[in-house]
Amino acid sequence: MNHSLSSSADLSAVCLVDSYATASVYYSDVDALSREKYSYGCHSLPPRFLRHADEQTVIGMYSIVQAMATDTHDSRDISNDAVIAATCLAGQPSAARTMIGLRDKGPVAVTPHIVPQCSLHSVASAASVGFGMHGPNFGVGGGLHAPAEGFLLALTLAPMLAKTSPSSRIWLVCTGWDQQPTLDANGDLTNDPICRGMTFVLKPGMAQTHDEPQPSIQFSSLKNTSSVDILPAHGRLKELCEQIEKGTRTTVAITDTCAIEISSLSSIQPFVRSDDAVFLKEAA
Amino acid sequence: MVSESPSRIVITGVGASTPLGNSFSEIGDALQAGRSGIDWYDAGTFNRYQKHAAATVKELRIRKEKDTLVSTEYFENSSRIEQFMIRPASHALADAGINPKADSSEPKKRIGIIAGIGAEQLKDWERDFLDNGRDVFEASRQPSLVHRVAQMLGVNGPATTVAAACASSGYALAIGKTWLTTGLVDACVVGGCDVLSPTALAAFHNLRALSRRDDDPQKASRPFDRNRDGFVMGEGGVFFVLERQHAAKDRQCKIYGELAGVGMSSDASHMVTPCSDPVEASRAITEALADANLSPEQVDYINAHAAGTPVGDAAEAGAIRNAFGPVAAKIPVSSTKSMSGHLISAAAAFEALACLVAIERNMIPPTINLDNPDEDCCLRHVPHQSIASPVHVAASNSFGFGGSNLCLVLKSAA
Repeated sequence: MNHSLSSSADLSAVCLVDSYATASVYYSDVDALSREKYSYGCHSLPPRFLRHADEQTVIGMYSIVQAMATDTHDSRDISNDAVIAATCLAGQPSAARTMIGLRDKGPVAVTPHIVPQCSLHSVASAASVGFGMHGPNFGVGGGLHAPAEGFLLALTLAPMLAKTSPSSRIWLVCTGWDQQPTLDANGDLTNDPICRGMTFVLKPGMAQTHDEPQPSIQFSSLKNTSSVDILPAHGRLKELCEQIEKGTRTTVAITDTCAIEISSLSSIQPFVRSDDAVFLKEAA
Repeated sequence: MVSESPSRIVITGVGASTPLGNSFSEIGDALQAGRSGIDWYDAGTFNRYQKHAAATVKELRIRKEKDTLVSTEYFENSSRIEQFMIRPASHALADAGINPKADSSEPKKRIGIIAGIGAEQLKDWERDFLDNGRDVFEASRQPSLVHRVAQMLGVNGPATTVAAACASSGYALAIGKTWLTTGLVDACVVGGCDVLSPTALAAFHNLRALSRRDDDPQKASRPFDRNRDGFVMGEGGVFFVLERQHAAKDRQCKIYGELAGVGMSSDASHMVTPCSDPVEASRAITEALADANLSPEQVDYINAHAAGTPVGDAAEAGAIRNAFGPVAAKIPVSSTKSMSGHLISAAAAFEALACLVAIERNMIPPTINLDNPDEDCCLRHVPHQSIASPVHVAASNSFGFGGSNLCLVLKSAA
């Protein structure tokens, strides 16, 4: 590790990956997915919890439940865990319909749910409220750098959380569209894009030296790296998911010199629900 | 695990565009005088059915001689929310004596930037929609505001946007502290900005979160008062430069204060309504004091989040009493939102600035309009007028939708 980022840098923060999951859904199936029962083990969402939720919240929560299913600590207490949600251009269809309503019918037509359900913090808050996680919850990104910012903030929060709540973990949820929705003048979609979610369950930990290390994420330097496999900070979530699912080590750039390295996750078996096909069509 | 630097994190630059003024001293004067920045607001054609009290920024321009990082043309062609980041962030850097574009040191100082913004895209789409644009119908992937501004300012370190609703900019400060503590950056621009918009006003109105008093706008924001009926929206931007204390001392720059402690927690209770159980909110306060290595007795002033909502103010009063115990009855508490309105994403940064003013002037800003303190909000209030009082340590609470709780502890540099 290169510590030359600053004269006193100590970028040894590490998060061990206890679990991860990826999920995707076509826009046309989001409504049905939002009515699913979201539960695993002792953790479950209240009924109809997602009825006003944005599409990215729905897929984010779905990926959380999938990550719970592969979690080696699935029965453990998550009540003090933290949630970071990195979303990219969330809330667009709802925003369009809200603005059409405002223009045509006035302020009475503006749904009060637009603020709590379609803001940058919405996915993190939904996870915190829905699953009873009392650690910090916040959203990051919002634009095309969102996944990279999510990993950066997870490593940022790790030392803080380790100090205040040593047994707590971080649920990093990244969401985004493969292609942004396009809407007509009435606010109806003219395409059926795929919405994608990815959840990492991260344990603030120590750098490992033993032979079979647990998968982890940590800072690395780009200064002496010429690898073509580095994903740019503005890379799409789809590409990141595909890279991770290959089981290879993945590097995501943060700045010109700093990156985050995600070690191979091949030792973690992604959980696949038997009824996935109902909601998750084969991606084109 | 990261070994923490023994160095303290201090504030060396301040920039602001707010309803109470556009500089540290202007805002300080308004807070000390108990002056309101709230007035009637015209929400425009699309929100023509409602008359709102709101706190707007009256003057938003840059002075060439101070803003060497920003071209006037770029600034004038920027959206209002972008201006609320560009101006305060560039002023904060100039105030700290840092010009990233002129940094000739080797290796260059690594400067990061963290902006607390809750719904940037919503505001961009709305602005375009009101101009008959189609962005919200055909959104394109683009860098978020913080990356565009970072590039314009020449900031070369990591950049990110964080959102925790009304606590967003406080999270920016908290994360900036960690970036410095771990050495990820040498200096960090942190803060937040938000802008009034017809959609946001209508949404908060329909949530019944806004005050509906329609007699006198300057009386509408009345935190802790028995007759409070909601908050008054505001807009603006506040940014700081954070540095490690030894670096700031080496540069012999002005130190406004120390960001001594941060604490964060979540209610995990409801997407909108604050939790009536004070446990989690008070945990954020307790953790911030522990992070600052201070006891409740050492706090001289509490800047409350108190926005003027019936449920939220009472819940916060309970959290303060729970965290501070018997000492709560002795510590002066005020809500500067009574004067500034609620700056939403920028609120926590503005209130951190208010704490720095209190520290510099040894003055407690008042809660104006606090005519009849609610017995459910029993605290040592400072109603109507500021008071002179030594302030060495100040705590600032921020709470947001989704149950985000945050407390910052600021300390004099002396």
